[in-house]
Amino acid sequence: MLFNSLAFAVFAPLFFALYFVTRGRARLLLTLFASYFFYAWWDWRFVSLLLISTVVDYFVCLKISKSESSRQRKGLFIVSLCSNLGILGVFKYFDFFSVSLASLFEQIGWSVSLPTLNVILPVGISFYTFQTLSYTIDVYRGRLDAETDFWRFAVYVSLFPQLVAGPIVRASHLLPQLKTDARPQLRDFGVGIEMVVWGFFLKTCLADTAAVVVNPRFAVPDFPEPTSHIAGVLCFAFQIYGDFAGYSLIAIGLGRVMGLDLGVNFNRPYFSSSFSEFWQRWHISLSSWLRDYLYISLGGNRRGRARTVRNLILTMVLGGLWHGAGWTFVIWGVLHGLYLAIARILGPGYFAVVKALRVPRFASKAFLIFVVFAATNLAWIFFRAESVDDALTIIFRICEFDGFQAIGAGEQRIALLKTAMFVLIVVSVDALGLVARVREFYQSRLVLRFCGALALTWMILLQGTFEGASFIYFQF
Amino acid sequence: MRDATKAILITVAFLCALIAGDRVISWGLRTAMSYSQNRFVDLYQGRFTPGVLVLGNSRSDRHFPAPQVAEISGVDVANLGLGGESTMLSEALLYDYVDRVGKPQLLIVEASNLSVAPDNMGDMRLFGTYSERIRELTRQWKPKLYYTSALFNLFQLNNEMFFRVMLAIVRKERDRRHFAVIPDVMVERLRTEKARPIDLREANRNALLRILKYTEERDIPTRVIVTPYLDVRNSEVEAFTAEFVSELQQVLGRRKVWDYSKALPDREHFRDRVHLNAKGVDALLSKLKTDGFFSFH
Repeated sequence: MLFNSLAFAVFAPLFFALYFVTRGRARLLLTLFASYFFYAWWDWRFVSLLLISTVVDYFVCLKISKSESSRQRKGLFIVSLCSNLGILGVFKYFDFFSVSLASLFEQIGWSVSLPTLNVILPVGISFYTFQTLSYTIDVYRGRLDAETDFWRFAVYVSLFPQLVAGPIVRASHLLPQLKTDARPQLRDFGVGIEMVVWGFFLKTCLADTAAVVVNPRFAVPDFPEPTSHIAGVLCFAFQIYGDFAGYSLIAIGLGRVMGLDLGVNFNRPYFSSSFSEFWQRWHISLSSWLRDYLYISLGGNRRGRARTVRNLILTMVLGGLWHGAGWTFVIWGVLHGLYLAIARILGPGYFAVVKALRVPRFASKAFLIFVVFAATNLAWIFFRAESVDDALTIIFRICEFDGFQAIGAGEQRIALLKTAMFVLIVVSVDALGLVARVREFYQSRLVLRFCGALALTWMILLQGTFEGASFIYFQF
Repeated sequence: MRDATKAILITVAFLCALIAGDRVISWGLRTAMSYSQNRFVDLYQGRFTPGVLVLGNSRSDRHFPAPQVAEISGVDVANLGLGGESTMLSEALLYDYVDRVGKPQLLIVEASNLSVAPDNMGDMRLFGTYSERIRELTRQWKPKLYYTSALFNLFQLNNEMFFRVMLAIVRKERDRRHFAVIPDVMVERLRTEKARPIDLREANRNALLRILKYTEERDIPTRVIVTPYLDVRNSEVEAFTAEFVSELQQVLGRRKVWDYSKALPDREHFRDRVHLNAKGVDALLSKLKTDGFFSFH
């Protein structure tokens, strides 16, 4: 079920009406039933995968917590890993590796026909798999007690606001909240609704308008107008931000209305002045997952520069593959890994030069924000393109830039103008939010916040796209 | 007061303010719309004088620029062609024109809009405020949009056309002709592309016949034209185009189809396969003038 669909407009009020009048076990079971219903609305057959993941991890972790033999614990941990990664591997990566291997054999002269499954990707599989994996790893490492209540654990895995596109919430953060039976607070209700409205604004106004400029450009990579491609790439940067940050905000806001804190997933990422800062602001729940369970496990930055670079690239490549089974995502990951590695190597030198030349701090920071934004955009080309060839064609077209030309058809010009307007609104709000005094002033004035939410809703009604456009991150 | 009661009160207050604001803002914006120099607003504000009326999809919009046609014909020109405009919508616009402006001296219908899905309202639902016919078409073909707009009036303004209308408050609509030339790479792509037949929709066909009957009864000179397509040396595409013209001729019977589908073979005249650029428009208008297309006085 899409948040921006008529079905959800009926589902949400019904759910919340029942949620607010129930307590304890009834509320837990209601949430569980609603979450499974929400998931089954898309395709009921894949509910079984969610159930398998839940049952396996629940019982395995119970066993792990009770076992005193480290060998048995390890064995059980491997069972959970194989089960989770096995499902993910079959549904998401099998065809990719099969085709890639066949292509590799072909290049060395062997003609091998490897099987492909051609199954559709279960929506949200990467998200809930990573969520349950974090639980298993934490229990295995002794950082978390295994949850003894099956229904509570099932709600943790399937909680509908964040089930299909995150944020990936750690068990240590969410399970204790599910144990409390307190009524949701009025403040949470207000803040939650505000987040939902802002999330819908990001999705229906910013992301879906930018898509009108983006889609035709990536559909015809050899379109010979560099200006159009530049506009397409820039718009994609904001489309994916609006789409994903929008979804995350709606999810977090709905959670807040339920009285649950699902964390923060985006924090003004395009204001980052370094690549590591970018990853502390973009898809925070995934980047912190990769840091905690992969990068640090690989050794992090503790074993010299070469190992650090290797670990960064490996982590980001796996992060890329998490997004999708394709070489474009691998290259996207490699690029981000390289950015992080290069920044680590060249960073101290850059700051030494800036200091020696007495460059004003704001100028240096603005320059770095520009560099990070531009490099991120280069990587987005691979992320969005259908193939590596398409991405390279677009890059070559952009390199042919020799002056601005008028952008394509009238529809695209209007969409570009509207996107620019929405970007201005979003960037202004984000920039104002950086100023503590402004933020505090706004947050302490209820009437102002009420009017802000109203204004955004009017804007959504007037300019939002309501054609049930899916969220980009559903495909991951 | 309990939190739950407060939450309900805040929600009700929010919804009330939302609906009230929706009505006030949409009223304000509609008032502002009436000052726009957009051609459809001109129509509904009755700013045209009876002259040449052009109807059809984007091909008529781009191929019959009002200033140039006015220069040739010597009368006021209302080009009400619009991307994705079906013949059914053209029919409604014709009747609205006659009601508000009067009987046109010449009606031009670019017939490729017979292939547009009849439920395609484009962004014309915006003008439902002015036209009972547009409102009825929206109700008939887009009921969800129609009833949602009744609930939230701002939703009726939620389309690209509204943006264009608002821009035209501050400046007259710019020249609507295309100026670029179709790139080689696009021609190459079209040459090998799988073609789709041009489908004359039943509802549009009936609408065209009603238009012709209506104009005959009122003695309005009418030209049904097929403007040029770029010949991309794709035999399938060419066959479908020829088939379309022949089917159209069957629909019209003894009436003439002004077939210019192959009139301009030069790539330099096109923006894409179905749209001429300014150079192509000049060439077409010159041919039409020579052929007596605009002789209606």
